[in-house]
Amino acid sequence: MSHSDDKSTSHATEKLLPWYANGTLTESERREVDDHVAACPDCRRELEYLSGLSATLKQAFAGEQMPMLRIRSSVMAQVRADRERLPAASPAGSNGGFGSAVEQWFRNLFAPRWVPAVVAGLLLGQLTLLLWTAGHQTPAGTNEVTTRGLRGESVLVAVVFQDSAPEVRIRSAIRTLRGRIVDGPTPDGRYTIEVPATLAVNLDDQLVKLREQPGLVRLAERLSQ
Amino acid sequence: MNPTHQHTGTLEGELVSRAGTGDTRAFEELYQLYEQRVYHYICTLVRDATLAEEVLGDVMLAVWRGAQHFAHQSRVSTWIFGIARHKAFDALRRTGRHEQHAVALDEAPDLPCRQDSPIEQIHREQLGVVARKALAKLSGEHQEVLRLVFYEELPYEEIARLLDIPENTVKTRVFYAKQQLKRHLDRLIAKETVL
Repeated sequence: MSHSDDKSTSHATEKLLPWYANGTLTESERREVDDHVAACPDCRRELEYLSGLSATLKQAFAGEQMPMLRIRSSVMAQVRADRERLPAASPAGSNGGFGSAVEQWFRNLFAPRWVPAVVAGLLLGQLTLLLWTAGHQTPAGTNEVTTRGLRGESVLVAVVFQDSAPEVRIRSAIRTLRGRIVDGPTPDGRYTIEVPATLAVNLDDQLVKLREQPGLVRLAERLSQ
Repeated sequence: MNPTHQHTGTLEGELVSRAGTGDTRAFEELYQLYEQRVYHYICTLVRDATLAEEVLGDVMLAVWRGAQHFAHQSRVSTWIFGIARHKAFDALRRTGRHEQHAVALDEAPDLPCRQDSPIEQIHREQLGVVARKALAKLSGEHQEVLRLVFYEELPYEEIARLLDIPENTVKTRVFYAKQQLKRHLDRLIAKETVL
């Protein structure tokens, strides 16, 4: 890649930083920014600046004046008047005439009289199948069937971030592990993160990547296998 | 680590669906969630608090009447802000006001943040005041995109759809809006420090 290509890629990534900070990038875009930020001090500084700016703007926007209450009262009065004008259980447009006739024709087309009979037949069939299955179950323990996601096996990971690590990058790092915080941060900045075993296939690689960001992470290690 | 708006998109979607069936309570809940946000968004566009209130009423009625047609293919916020944008520009055309005085954002009262210590709260409030002054110096377009990114926390695709501009234009606009804001913030902070 030429120098100008490097520049343009960097520029494109830099333009994604506001959405990295507001947490709405896709997984792949976020990874792209993560990789770039890990190697680019300018973007790291920009991200820290954006984190502060975001908090300041939220403060600024949240402190604005409220609209007058009379606007809400007036809107709600019109809404209630609208509601009263609508006949109960009668959808808009069924006021008789040609429109009504067309609507009725479509209703008959999509809801013919044999539909209830078919539905009842299907329900009866399902019930029969259920009873048959219950009568032919294999002995317990020989062919155990469990619902996905109920086993609850997980791996615990400890991560300690640098004091200066910006919140957005901490948030992103935790998302990278695809886990959830179960404890922390402790006074020494330690988070305990639980990662479902099914998602922990590449966990060691992810921990290595985290450790390769000394500006962000002081420690990243498994607490359980 | 908390998002700006605590409610979930699913809840908002349900409220719109229920409002679409004529549930006035659901609509009132939706109104309360969006009232302030939509009002300030309109203020950014029309730069007149009184006109913004008038437009707010029109927008919320349009939301009520259009709820049954909302296709749930975008965020509820994008849909509502889209209506607000359309109504705001209509109002500007109707009243012949295209360039108005900036809304007196720096006179707006501050809301205390409950989690702060008193000193942090004062610091935050000062920053908030300075930020409002800096924002007021930006163009309407720049204020709008900064609000949509940092306060409404919309993805760039949704902002592009809302503003009806290409995604790259959104990114570039935010890039320059941020630069302008930084310049004004730096100047204002330097001025306040000297005083």
